[in-house]
Order: sequence, then structure tokens, then C-alpha cells
Amino acid sequence: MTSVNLPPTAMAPGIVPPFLLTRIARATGERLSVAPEAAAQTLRHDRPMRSARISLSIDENRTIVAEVSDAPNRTIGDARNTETLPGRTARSEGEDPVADATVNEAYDGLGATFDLYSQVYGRNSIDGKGLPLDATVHYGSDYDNAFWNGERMVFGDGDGEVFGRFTASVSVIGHELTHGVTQYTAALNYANQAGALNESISDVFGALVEQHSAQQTASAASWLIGEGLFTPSVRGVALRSMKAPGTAYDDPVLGTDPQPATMAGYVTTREDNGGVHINSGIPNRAFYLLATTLGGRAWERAGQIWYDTLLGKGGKLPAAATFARFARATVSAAGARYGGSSPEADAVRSAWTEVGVTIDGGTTR
Amino acid sequence: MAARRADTVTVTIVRTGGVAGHRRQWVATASGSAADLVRELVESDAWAGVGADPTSRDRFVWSIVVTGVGRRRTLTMPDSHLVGPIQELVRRVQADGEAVADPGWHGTATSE
Ligand SMILES: [Zn+2]
Repeated sequence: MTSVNLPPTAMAPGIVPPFLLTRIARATGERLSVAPEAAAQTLRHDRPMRSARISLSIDENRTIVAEVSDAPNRTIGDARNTETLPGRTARSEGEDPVADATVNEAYDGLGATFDLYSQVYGRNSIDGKGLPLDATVHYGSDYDNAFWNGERMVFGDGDGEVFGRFTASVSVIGHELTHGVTQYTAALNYANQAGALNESISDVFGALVEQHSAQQTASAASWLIGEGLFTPSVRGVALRSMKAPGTAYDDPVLGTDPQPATMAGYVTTREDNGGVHINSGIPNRAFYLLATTLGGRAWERAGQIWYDTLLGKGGKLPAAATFARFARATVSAAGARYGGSSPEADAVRSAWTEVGVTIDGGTTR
Repeated sequence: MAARRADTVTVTIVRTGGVAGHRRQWVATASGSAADLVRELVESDAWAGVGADPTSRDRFVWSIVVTGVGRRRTLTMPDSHLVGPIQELVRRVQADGEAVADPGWHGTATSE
């Protein structure tokens, strides 16, 4: 975040668009001089190539303080039930809500995800450089899925029998966008243990997006991924539970949630790229244990340790990282930020031990 | 290839992956001219030339198993490559075939 102090008469034209200048000129004329302390307002300013959020306030010297921070650049396309991407543009950054709730859910969910990364971790979008956030809704016919294709997030409407629309869950939107973040950072493979870590990282930050936007503590959060996606006819609450993997659904048609919570239940399979959506339950629960042991807001310390790990601050992660190798990196990252003997680093070690993951290289500090 | 051909062919579609990670399975049998079309398909270029999708995440993975065509034929492909006649076959089996409820996970649970 940049803070720019500008006297009212010398606003930099490059930063503030003309309509804002007009507004400020009018405001400084009377209203602000009456009640400067109440004059703080947040305005969003978006341009095609660079998005920024500008908040203006008046300090005690009657100087306008313009704070410029990162802002998302969202475009939501509508595939109109075809499988053609990107679809017709339904809503662009800064535009008012439209009649289609699905479009607005995608727009708001991308905004909530952008906010977590930007406000908490100082990351400007998926690539850290303000990459536009592109999504397509109403993809395919009865399409039971949401995915990241390397460039955009794509959401189906569901079949209406088992699944409703996939934009209904903020954690799923955060999950998809986080696949992009992982692509630009640790670039973990999408198979076997590295793939399950890739999946788990998306679940972790998907859950954190939801908690951050609701300002929920770790103990108050549901730790569910994809809550509200099922139709009422399904016996289940969500796609996955980070708190209790394997308990999210138990339904005659869908079967039973197959996720293991510990290494004792690790599933070896060739399906689903080596069970990436199955074995993610193990690192998911490790993160849940860490977050609830530390308490408070999970995005602050637990999330920071995971984010640092993704950035290689616990040592560069190999693309084929195993659970044990990732665990070692999280211990290192916690040590680097909070100290090797800190409660945070201890909680990381305990979390992995509890899910049966032996930390690669032992538990050395 | 003088293997005796069954009168009918059986097509099993297994869909895994997706953000939900659900395993779904559909089975259908074909006889007569429909069976001939399936036999033709497994020998065609459409069956042979399937690539990978290294950038997508959470997309479905499709597995198509055909029996009754001589040796058992299996094709595994990413969702993004599911087009043309193979896609037609998959859609047909999903629509006309039997959805197998609660097929269970095809893997083994192992302790480390
Ligand atoms: Zn995923």
C-alpha cells in the first residue's frame, strides 16, 4: 500500500481520474471543512491495465491523504450452457450487479479471494503482479464441476439433482483461484502426494477466504469446503471437511466421503491423478489442527506459515514434494518467521505428527 | 487377431476427479449395428490420439473400458480432450446406460 500526501490543489492527475478530482474539489469547498473526521471515503478506481483502490481521507492538517492499494480486475463471462470459453462478457470490474445471481456470486467470490491475498499476504492477484481475474459461469450443460484451466476459473451450473451451481460456495471459488496462485509459486505437480498437497493448499486458502470475509475465528469456522453445493436431496453438508475428513457426506447415490484423516488411511490409486482429491484430507486436517491449536484468526499465523511455505520461505519446494517434504518446509517457514522454538513452530510439528506424517529430516529445529 | 467376438460389447465409463472428487460410473451394452460402431471406434484414430492436459486443475478424468471387442480396450483421457466421437460415446452411455451407485473407491488403503 502506498500512501500519498497531497494538498487539495495538487492532486497528481496520473493517479486520480478526473471525476474524482471534481468530487474532491466540491467536497473541500464546504463539507470537509465542517466535519473532516467524518469525511473518509473509499472509492474504487479501475483502469484496464492497472487496478488500484484509492481511499481518501483528510488528516489533522486538512491535507487530503490518498492511499493507493491493489484492486482486482475481474471479468465474468457467460458460456450460456456451451463449452466455449470465455463466453459473452456478463460483468466487468467496477460494474454494478447484474440480474444473474451466478454472475454476481462469481464476481464477489473473486473479490473476496483477491482481498485475502492482497490485504493479509500483500499479494497482488494470482501472479503477484495484478493478473486479471477471469471467470466463466454457466459452462456446459448440467455440468457438475468447477475448474481452473491454467488461465481462468470455470463454473458449471450442476445437474440440479446432486449439485446446484458451483458459484454458491465462496470456498470453492477461493479453491479454484488458489490453483492459479500455486501455479505461479510452488508449481506442485498434479499427481500423487504433490497433487494432494496442491489440492490441500487450494482447500486451505479456500476456507481462509470464507473465514476472512466473515471475520470468523478458527474455532467458529465450519472448516467445510463447498458447503451449500449439494441439493437438499443429498445426505451431506459439503464436498469435504478439513476438521473431520471422511464425514462430509454419506449418501446412497454419492457414496461415502472417501477422505482419510491420517496416513493410516492413505489411498493408493491410479484414478483421479493418484487420488489428489482423496488424500488431501491428510494435509487438510494438519492445517486445521495447527489453526485451532494456535486459535484466533486462522489466516493470520497458520495461513501465513502455509503462504510462506508456498513462496519457498521454508526452502524451495520440489514440484514432486511429498507430504514429509512439505511438512519439513512448513516447520522451516514457521521457524523463519516466529522462531524455531516458538509456539507456532511447535504447533506445526504436532499437527503433522497427529496426522501420521513423519517430518522429512526429523523434527530438528 | 482371430479372437472370438462376443455378440454384445460392454462400455464402462468411469469419471474421477473434478473439484468434488466424486467417482461416478456408468455401464451400457450394445449389440447389432451399435456394437459394430463401438468396435470401429476403438480401432480408429479418435481412440489412439489422446494427449495430456498439464495445466488444468480439478477437471474430470475419464476412463472408458470396452469389452467384447477382442481384447479389453481401455482409454483414459482428460476432460479437455473429450470431444468428437469419444464424447458422443460417453454421453450416450451416461444417458442410456446404468449409473452404478456407490461404486466404491478403486484403490487400496495402505498404511505408510
Ligand atoms: Zn482443486
